[in-house]
Amino acid sequence: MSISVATHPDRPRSGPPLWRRLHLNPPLVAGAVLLTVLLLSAIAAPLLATAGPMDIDLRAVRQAPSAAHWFGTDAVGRDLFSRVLYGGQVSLLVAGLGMMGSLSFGTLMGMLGAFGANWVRPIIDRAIDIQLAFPYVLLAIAITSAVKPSTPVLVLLMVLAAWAGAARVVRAIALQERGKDYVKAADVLGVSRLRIALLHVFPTVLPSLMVLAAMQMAAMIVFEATLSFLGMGVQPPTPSWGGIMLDGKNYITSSWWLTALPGLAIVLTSLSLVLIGDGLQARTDALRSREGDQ
Amino acid sequence: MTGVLEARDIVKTFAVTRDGKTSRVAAVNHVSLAVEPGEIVGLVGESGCGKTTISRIMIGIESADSGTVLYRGQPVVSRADWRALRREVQYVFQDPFTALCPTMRIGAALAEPLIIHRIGAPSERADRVAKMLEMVGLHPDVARRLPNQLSGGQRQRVNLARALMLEPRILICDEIVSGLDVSIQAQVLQLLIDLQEKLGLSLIFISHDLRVVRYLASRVLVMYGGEIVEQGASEAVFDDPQHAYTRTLLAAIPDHSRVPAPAHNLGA
Repeated sequence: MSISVATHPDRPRSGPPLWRRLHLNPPLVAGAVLLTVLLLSAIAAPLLATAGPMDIDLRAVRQAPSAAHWFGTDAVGRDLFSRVLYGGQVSLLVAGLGMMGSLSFGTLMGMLGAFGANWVRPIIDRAIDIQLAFPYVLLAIAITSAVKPSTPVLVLLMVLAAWAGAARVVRAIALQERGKDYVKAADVLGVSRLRIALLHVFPTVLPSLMVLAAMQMAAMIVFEATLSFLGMGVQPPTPSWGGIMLDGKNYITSSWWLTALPGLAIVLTSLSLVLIGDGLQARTDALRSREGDQ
Repeated sequence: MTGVLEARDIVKTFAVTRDGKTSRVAAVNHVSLAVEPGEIVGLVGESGCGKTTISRIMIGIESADSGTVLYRGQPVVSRADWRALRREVQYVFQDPFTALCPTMRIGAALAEPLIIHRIGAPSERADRVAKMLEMVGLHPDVARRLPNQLSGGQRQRVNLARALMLEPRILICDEIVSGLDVSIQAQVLQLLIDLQEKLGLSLIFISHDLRVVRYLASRVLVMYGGEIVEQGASEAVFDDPQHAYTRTLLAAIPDHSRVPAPAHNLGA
């Protein structure tokens, strides 16, 4: 008997245009545009800056924003606009490294927490619990009292403080996926646990990981600012947003721009990242539910 | 009675907690079943009667509390035993929507068993995938698609194709047509019969749909409440049911006169 029941499906269609296939939504676009502007202005700081970020001019200290100094000047007459631009380079780079480090380590731990050997999983669970229960500022104080604060130490602190959040999310998704039939089907076909984790389950974690990356980056911006403000982060005279705010804190009543304007940079960056995170989440949810409809 | 694949006296209980009290419910209670080479065995019963559980135990996705699974007369115990069994026994899952990895293209999913078991040269694997897709009645272009670009019927064919990539001798099909439209059901059933004749497969076909089982199976086992209440040749069970539950099941078929004639009578 021949197999004549074959019904050949349509050939794959060329599909809608690219912008529609990307499934963009307003928060995602708004956040991406804002972040792009901020990133470009940090990268182009040498072109945009009206003065050197460390040029002291004692004849023009604590001047209010004006045409000559758009963001005003600080206590030793440095141009605040230039310092915020250059500070952005440092803050964004440090936060980016911290985000990538914590996300990589967190993802590794999360996958191990879902797919590791039976004795590995409870260890990782407990490590996540301990880390989440531990106040990160306390951790930062403990470490910077032992090691001299510097930028690499700051990045390390970020990884230590933030990996557990990522690990918990990745572990939860991976465990949920692990219970699904496709994992069992792969197991029956002889696919190894490592291969299932890497090739089958990890790709399904990726969309959530992108959401997490945006949220984590926002948290890292604030984390950098907090630690630098407390003197445990980027060390003066290198400008960073938190460090600039620390410099300005003594004049908060008389010279508002010294804290408010770098603060605004922090707020805008976090806002753009949160918007991107929300947009990505909405996009993932929309794509998932459509998948379920079929 | 011995078969190629045999489950002997399997018991499986699940813990159920109600009002803070934990009790154990037997999902499978001293069940034995065997499949002979080239035979299609139907396993029928209502949902929750334990038919999926016993089938999953026979492929090692779940473990039995007691009882043995035998393959070629040898008890299957160690991991290596199960690996050997799964080289020749495959399983098609009930839900075509969850049984395929959503991010893996169909071609990669079908080629994977070949890669794992180092079957064929890398260059000829794509060819084998295309051939298999054609065998289950799909266009080879499907290899480039993702599961969510396919319909339920197409996905179920892909699942079937994937299970067949290792050229198993026995295929366990768990309710594989119950989620499909009636017209597609008929196509998949016809496909199973064709494959069984072409490849000499043994099939354990699990369904709650008596008409489907009668169409396909030469031997039928009826499960109820975790036990096998009746078994025998397909005609015997359907024409002269002995157990009260089987009679209830048969009476529940909407139009008994329109039950299709068993396929194996047509074949030879």
